[in-house]
Amino acid sequence: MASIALRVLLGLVVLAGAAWLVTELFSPPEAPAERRRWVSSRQCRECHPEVYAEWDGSWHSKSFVDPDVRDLSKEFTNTDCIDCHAPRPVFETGVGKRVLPRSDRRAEGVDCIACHLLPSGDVAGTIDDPRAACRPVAKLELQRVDYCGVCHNQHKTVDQWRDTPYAEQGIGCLECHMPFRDGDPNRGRDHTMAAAHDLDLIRGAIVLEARREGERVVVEVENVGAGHSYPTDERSRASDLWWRPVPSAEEEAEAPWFHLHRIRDPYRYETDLPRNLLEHGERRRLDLEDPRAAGAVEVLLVYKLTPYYRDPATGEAVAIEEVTDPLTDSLEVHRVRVD
Amino acid sequence: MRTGGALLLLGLASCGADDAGREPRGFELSPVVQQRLGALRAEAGPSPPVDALAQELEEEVFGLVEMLAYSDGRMREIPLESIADEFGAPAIPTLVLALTDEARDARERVAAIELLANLDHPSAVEALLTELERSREAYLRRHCAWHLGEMGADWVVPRLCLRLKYEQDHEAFLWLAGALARFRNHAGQEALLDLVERGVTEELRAQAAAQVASIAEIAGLEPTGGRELARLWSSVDATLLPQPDPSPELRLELWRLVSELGVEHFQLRGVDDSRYALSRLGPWAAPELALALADEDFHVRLHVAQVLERMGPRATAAGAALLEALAEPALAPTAAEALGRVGHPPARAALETRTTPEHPHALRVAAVRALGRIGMSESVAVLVALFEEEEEPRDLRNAAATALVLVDEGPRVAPWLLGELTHPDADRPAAELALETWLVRGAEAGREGYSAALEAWRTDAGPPGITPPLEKLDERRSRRAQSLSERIEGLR
Repeated sequence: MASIALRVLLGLVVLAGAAWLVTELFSPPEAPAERRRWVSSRQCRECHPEVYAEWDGSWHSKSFVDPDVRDLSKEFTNTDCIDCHAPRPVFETGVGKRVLPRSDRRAEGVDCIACHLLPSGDVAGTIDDPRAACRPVAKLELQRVDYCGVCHNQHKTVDQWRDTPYAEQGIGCLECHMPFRDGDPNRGRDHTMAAAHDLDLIRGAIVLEARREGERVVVEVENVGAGHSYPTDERSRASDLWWRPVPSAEEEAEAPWFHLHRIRDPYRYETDLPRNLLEHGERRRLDLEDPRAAGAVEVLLVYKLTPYYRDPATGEAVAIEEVTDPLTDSLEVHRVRVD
Repeated sequence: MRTGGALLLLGLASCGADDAGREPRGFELSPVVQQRLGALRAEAGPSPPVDALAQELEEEVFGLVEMLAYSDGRMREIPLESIADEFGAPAIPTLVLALTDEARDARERVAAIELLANLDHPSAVEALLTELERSREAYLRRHCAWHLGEMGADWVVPRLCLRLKYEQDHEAFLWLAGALARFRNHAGQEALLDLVERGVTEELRAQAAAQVASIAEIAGLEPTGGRELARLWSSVDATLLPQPDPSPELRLELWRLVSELGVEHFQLRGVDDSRYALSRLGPWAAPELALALADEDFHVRLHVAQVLERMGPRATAAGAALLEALAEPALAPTAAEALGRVGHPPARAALETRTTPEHPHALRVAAVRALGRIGMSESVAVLVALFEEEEEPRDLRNAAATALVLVDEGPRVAPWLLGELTHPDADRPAAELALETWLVRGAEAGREGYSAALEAWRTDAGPPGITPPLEKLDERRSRRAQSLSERIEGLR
């Protein structure tokens, strides 16, 4: 009896399978999706809420509304800045070619459309699926360093990368700045695109050490992880080393900070400043010989999103010698103490 | 481009209101830049050669440098005459050695500049230009700038314009602006006026004021006409100022800069420099630049349209050519933006046509923006229809609202812009700028309530000079939205 039931069940399974096969083989294929008009990256949110939320929280989404950028560009009346801060789709202007500015949806900055829209109106992605609403087409170009380079190599970041071992190993921009979510390729790449605003990333890439050698304090800073110079990009970025004596137990007030060293690629008109970016793998030694450093000292490495320090009360740039608290206008990367 | 085509373009560039309502046809593309460079090189001819100076005469040239450096009165005339009459161009390399020798006394280096300036030769001009561009010594740059204005070789103008971008020494800037003015170029005037008001020392402010007065006279105005000169230079009336007669060498320089805009150049910094220098040239440059809108390199066409946009009303002669450029889909948004900034009323009909949904979104936005800047009341109906259509993309409606502010329809759109000021999906900075423009225009026109509303708006801005972080900016916008919404009923 059980054997008969099993046979009937098996027969039903075979029949169902055959029916499915016939349907698949002879029914008309699902029609491709109608091509849509992409006028805003908000349209992408409908189907890709996770990616959209990541991008929306990223600095790419703020490239046109970031107050520092608007300030430096005088509300983008310096239209030179629009080329990279609101670019035309890269697939339209060409991978590896110079980026060009666009006229629409500028407030969305470097958005989904700028990176993914193809001249055909379809969308570059990791799979081919004409039935999906955005009709994705697999495009390996999205992974190329030249792709990011249309903007980011304007300040030589990709060229810097070519001089690192990462280039030979095939470890490109995406491995650090757009890793797979939770390390799982099936979950796609993280679109928060962590970079200069992400302190964890910077802290992992740069090492700060200090020790006493006789009378002097030796400070060493090393670029152990950035696949380009530290900081990369000219003009807008800088990194400073500061130090101060650690107050003794009976001293109430904290000592002011003293400037020790600046790491920066100056802007083109700053002809009297040296370019001294910390190259990948470079370890730089700085000797601190100052009578005020005879006791315990703290050494601070900060990252700056703007090269100058501003008076918190007026916003005016102040000379670096007049700065007593660098942390009012910079991000703390590392702090070490030498006794 | 064939000569006939170039003439057609020049014709287009010079026509005006007649092309109102005509549908643009576009250009037949060709290697315009290369052809213009070739033609102008032939017209300008080769640079005169610099013969070598006999080695034993080098010491005599150095002697003239020292003599000029340490003498005064009529004794100075001896080396100045001698360098021109007895040595001429062969002395240039030796003088450059003296000029660039950092071990030499400053007086000798300045004397080398004076002697070079006394030689009527392109290589001497080039030597001073190079020093102006590269020297770290401000005093040398000041002397070079002044002498370049005196030497009269107009082909230095684009490179002097570019120096306006990089010069950090205020006194050198004074002489730079003065040199440009001698060539009928007033690109330095605005910054000069700024120095009159905000120069760091009283002496600098006085020097700037004297320079402004002198330049106004060069331009045929009263010595007090510095402000008026700046206004004219940035307006369609720039053509009313005394015009230069550009030499083939100057036009060659223009095309050399245009060639820097081509696709083969990856780095934007060179493109930025070219755009900067070209957009600061006088009205004479507009018809030349318009020719490049037909070049076969898309990057050249696009960037030249941007240059014309940045020239603004001074490039009015390029209006008709920009209108033709609307026919090319990829170039059209940039051409539309340029038409708006140049202010070309005959483009109104073509721009209005391009606001309709069958056109690419970027072009629609750019056309709307241009209509606002041209500012003709005839466009109001089109702009209102776009603004009121809730199905239209947000940035298009924002552009239409901003355009309506510019054609004096602010009250109609201000309530919607107030909503945009705090909406997470909106272009909040654009809404903020549009509302401020509306208030400023109302206050300037003396309309009731606007001055008080503008004052409150500015009070809500926070301390001047401080760049607030994003979250603080949103707080500011909320405050402004709240404050203005309480007043908006009274603003009509």
